[in-house]
Amino acid sequence: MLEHLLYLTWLIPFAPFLVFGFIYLMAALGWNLGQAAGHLSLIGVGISALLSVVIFADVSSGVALGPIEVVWVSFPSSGGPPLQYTMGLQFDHLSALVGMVVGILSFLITLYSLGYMRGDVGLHRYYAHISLFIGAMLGLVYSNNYLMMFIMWELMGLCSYLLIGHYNHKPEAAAAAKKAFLVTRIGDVSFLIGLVVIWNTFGTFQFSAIEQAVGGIKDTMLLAHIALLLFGGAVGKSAQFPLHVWLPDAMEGPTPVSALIHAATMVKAGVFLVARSYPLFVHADPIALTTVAWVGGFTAIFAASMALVFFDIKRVLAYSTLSQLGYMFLALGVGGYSAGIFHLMNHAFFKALLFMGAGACIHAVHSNDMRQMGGLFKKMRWTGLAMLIATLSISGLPLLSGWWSKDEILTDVLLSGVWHADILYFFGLFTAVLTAFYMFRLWFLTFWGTPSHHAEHAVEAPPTMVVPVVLLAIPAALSGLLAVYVLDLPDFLEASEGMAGELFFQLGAFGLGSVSLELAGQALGSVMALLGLYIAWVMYGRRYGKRNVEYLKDLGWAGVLYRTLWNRYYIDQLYVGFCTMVIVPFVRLQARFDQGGIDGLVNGIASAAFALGASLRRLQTGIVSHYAAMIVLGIVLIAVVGNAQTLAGFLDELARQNFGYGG
Amino acid sequence: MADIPILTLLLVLSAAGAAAALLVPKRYAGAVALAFAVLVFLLSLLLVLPHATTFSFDYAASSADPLHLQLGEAHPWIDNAGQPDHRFGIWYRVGVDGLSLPMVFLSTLMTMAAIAYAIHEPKRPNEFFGLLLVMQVGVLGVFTAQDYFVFYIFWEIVLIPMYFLIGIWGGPRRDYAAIKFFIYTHVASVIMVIGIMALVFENLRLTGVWSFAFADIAASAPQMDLVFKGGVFAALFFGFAVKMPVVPFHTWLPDAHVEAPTAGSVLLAAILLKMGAYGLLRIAFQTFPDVLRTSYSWYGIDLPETRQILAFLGVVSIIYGAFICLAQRDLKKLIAYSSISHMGLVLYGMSTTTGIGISGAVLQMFAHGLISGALFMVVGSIHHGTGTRDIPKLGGLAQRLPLTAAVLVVASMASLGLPGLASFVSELTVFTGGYQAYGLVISPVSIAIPIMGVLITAAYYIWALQRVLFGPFVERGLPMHDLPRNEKVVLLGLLVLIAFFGIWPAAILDMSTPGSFEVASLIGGLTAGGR
Repeated sequence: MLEHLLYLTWLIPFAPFLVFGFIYLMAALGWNLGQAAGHLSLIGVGISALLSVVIFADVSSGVALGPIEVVWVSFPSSGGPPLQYTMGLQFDHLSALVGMVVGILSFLITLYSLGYMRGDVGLHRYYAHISLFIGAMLGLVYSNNYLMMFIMWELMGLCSYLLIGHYNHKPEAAAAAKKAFLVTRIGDVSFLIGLVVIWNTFGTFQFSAIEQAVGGIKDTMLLAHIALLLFGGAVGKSAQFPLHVWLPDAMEGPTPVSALIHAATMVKAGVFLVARSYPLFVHADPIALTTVAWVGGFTAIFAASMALVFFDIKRVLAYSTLSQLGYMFLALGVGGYSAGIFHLMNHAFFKALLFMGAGACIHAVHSNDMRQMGGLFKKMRWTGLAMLIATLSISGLPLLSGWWSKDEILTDVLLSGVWHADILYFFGLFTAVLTAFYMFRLWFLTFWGTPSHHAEHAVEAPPTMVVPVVLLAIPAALSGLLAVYVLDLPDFLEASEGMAGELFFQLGAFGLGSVSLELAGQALGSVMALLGLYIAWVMYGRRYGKRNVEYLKDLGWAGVLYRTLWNRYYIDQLYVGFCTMVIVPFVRLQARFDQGGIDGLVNGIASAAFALGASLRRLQTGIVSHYAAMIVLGIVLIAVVGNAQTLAGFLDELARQNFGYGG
Repeated sequence: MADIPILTLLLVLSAAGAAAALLVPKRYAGAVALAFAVLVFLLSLLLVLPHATTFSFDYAASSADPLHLQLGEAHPWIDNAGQPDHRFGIWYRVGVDGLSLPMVFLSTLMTMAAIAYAIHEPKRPNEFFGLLLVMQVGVLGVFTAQDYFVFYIFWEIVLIPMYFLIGIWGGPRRDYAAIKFFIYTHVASVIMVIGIMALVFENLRLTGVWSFAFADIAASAPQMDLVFKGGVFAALFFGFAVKMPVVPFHTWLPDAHVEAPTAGSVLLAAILLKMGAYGLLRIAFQTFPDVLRTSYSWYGIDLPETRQILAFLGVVSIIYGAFICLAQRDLKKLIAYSSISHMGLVLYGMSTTTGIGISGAVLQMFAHGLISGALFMVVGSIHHGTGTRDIPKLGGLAQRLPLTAAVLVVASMASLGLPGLASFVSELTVFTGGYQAYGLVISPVSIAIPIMGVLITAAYYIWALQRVLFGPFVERGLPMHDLPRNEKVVLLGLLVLIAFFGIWPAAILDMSTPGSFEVASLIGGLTAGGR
């Protein structure tokens, strides 16, 4: 690509941004674009997607592109070049790969929206926000510095907020939007502090400059602080424990939004951030990566357990997303850089498919509740088949895409020397069982058995919805195979950072593994997936609806467990309780203090001055004899207090001057 | 350099506009006032645009010699220079540098916006618009004055129109609020003027020459006694702190805002509060840079460095102001308290005495001017449109008033520091300066606590949006209307500017950064952008 053509790449974020601006400009001028807004978005996103594919083709064939950069803000610095905030794009292997995945999925989901959202009253809002979101996500992926990344990160947060609250007349949607914004904001503050520390440590936000400088910094605890602050941002955005509470509620948004933002792209931004910051994490004190691994590993099993009990199809998928994101962090935390990104890519494909398929089912039966579905396979063959492929893939059945990345993750955990890798490995393995179980529970409840009366009149969704779903089935099944055999993904990714050697050297410090162990681990992973599948088949497939986890409700300790899961471990209640029982009473008290205490003091001073004035006013009676008495009183006072001799002299002088006589 | 006395022209045109608005027939008052405000704004725009005219601000000269005044004018006023008993040395001195220019621009912009917003004011329009333009005279004078006497006169001029705006056009408790506003801020001004007189006499004692000029007094300040300077600093700071306002001197503000008419609230939040912060930076910081790094002892108690005391007050304002917003039921009062929090950020940024922190504080002043102006306007529109500002009585407005709702969402997002809108870069730079000066967690004024204000700010805005705009629509049986045309134009224009300065913060930072780093190096704070 010619050098000046490179500036066209600014269109990747800006084509959708312009569509966003145009839709709202028209709205401000009183012209609601409606469905036409969808076509405009599709064009804008199409341009970005096309460019992202071209960039991937170039980068993977070894063409060096960019970076391109403009100065944004410049600060003087004593005795050095000015320090600058810049905006720039970089096209390395990591951004090219993730950017392409995001571009393709964005295009397909926008296409799907044309069918799914048809007839909505707020279409122009919807497409404007979707466009802004896609531009921001792509801008984040291709950005070459932390500042631009943070800006895009926050814009995505805004879009997420607006889109979760798309049906804003519903109180649940409004509450979910608020929750999503505020919970992720906790992480964002951590990211913001991270930015401040990065700037004051490195004097730049550029990834490449930081990567070069990071080796020279001896204070590994400082680096660990930076890394963990950034990870704090990732925990919020990628909804890891303890900030996971917003994502399941976010399912109040329209289903394409759940597919795009809350499964395939935005929630991956946290994973991407950690991957982008890998040089920092690797050079930092091991506490940084250990924390990542443990938070990820714990969230994986913790979220998977909650996915077991819900009937809302989107909610189950949301917990599944949390759990899979946990896998990705687990991989990054144990040094499996390429495994984490690999799983990110695979998960984006199959989870987007699952959400879009779920959307088709919801569209067909007008309910999110899987108990209202059942038997849909006969009515919706294409959707059902595509969902089956994705379900097999996420469960980790051999040769499908989820299998490749999940096994790589488990192997990496096994080989790493991270603190208690054995427990983490157990978490990962057990999560695999749970995943296969809840995914097949979902599939059987939706597509298997006899249709409920809601599902009897269900029909296959329109082509704009089915085509993207079926198209996605291809990568959902094959992305693992293609990535390993065509792209040679591990090499591809580690070449991108130019840190393959460096990385493995660092990881040597964590621990050693053996080949036989690796093979055993892989086999075990597949066995676990089959085990989960089998249990689901027994409970939900073979004898549909006869014996399932819901019957545990009334069984003693199992009932307690079930209720704990159903109440999401009571964590949401804890947070809500903290807000309503601590924060709100506190601020009410503060408001009273402000009125009564501080302002009371101010008004008290004013009233005291007023009262003083009022009492002194009585002295001003306007009666001459009173004033005369006052004068005499004053003279007497002076005589008593002051020097009597002086007073006498003064009176003498007064008498002589005025009356012409005296002593 | 300048053949045209542009700054005086701005003042004269504003005053002429005020006179014209008072004299023309009632139905033309708004239009005439708007015409003058637009004229003044366009002149100030030419002033700001690089190389537009001979009287444009010279950015290159400003970065070479940041605190050198440009477009300066100086004429003897109460002065008998050359006579044997030389007296008073009061000159009409005005001028701008990179620190005052953003404020001048903000003043003309927001005055114009406020007049356009209120153009249909039915009650005594001549006086209403006349007072708004008198206020513009006052604030422009404050932001350009280079002489203590002139500064103080303009400072007091500002009080009078605001007193009448609240007292005549205000809400039900307008008398209380107007008197409280006047007395409280006037007491503060009187204490400030004691400080100023002490300075003038001390300068006279040291140099033997009468002068009220900022520059002369700053030049002799290094010879003054450190304790004396501490006392004067405290007097000046009290005057500025009440105006900003800084907790615990803030209680006049919610009352004044709640009762003031919308245009009055806009000018109060957007411009008047900035006078305090600007005075602190222009006078207190540049005259007594050494006081900020001094640790005084008071009756045997060793105090921290003065700048740390300021930083602490800033932190208290940020957190206190943000928390109390959560408890508000009146949307306008919520916005009023949020100003306290955001001005706390300005104080905190300045108190870092780092270049990046001070330039962030100046940017925050500008951004807060635009954003709080827009917020007060949209709250005024909601009040007009629905008949109430009480949050529990509102709900679901997004369905009936989509435009109003969209404006409120964007303005709230801007206020909570969303990147791409005006106040994000200022927050980032202020906290960067805070980290340079006070670290992450090592002291009570480290950034860990004030940065939590960002979170609380998000909480009160997002919660308010949920209750006001979303959820089921609350039927109140009243006729409702979305934005009228003039309000729509003004608000959308402000939102465009909020986005513009968010996308291109260098437009302001190019003015304010050189001066900020110069002030920081006077104080001896860190001057590097990083490390």
